[in-house]
Amino acid sequence: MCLARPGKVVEVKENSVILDYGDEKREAKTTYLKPEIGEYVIVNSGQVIQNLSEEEVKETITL
Amino acid sequence: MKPKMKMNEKINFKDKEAKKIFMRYALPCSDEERRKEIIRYINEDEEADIDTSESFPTATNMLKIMAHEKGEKEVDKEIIREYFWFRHGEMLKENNPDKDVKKCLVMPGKIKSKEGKEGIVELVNGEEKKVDLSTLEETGKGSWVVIHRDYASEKINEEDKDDIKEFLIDLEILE
Repeated sequence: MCLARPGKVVEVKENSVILDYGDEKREAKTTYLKPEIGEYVIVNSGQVIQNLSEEEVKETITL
Repeated sequence: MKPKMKMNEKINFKDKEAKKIFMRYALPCSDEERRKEIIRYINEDEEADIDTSESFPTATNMLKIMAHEKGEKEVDKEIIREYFWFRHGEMLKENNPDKDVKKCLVMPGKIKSKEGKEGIVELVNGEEKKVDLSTLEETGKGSWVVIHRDYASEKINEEDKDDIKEFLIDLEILE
């Protein structure tokens, strides 16, 4: 939905990923989706819940 | 992406009522030109050709997860309300720590006046706002409603209003 900030996957662990948000890095669990390095994702309650296409990332970042 | 849960499957609403409630809350996030179609679907029961999973991927994914957490195969109205009243706000805060997320938050308000499809509501943060009441035409002055952006989504009771208000205080959005 509107205004969700995507994070870029920079490290993949067994049950989580490290996400780069530009100004900070955060860890998110991958119970439902297992993204790969370089992909952009959206997090809710510490869980990766959605992966974004490149087009969607451009749209969100320009918001 | 390798989904562990069937995240690529379309969302399964329990019934038409649940889908309509979802559309009430998702309405302000859709394109301007689709809004009329959605309003007709809500008010007149006119079948709308809207792929909810494609149009609202974040919300539908979260609803699927929430149903899964509860051991349900279908998304019912309780799950939809729990998402838009609470989890949606949490997500906005989590994903936008520096930005003012207020305009996207779902917030209760009381209808102060009404003229046709437009109304003035007083939000629980004290702010007065002009809102579109197209999907709540029967709701009058003095009623509590939930506001999402410029639209009133649903009529609520006082207890619901208190729950959402308390949540917004916990989230440090309200004082």
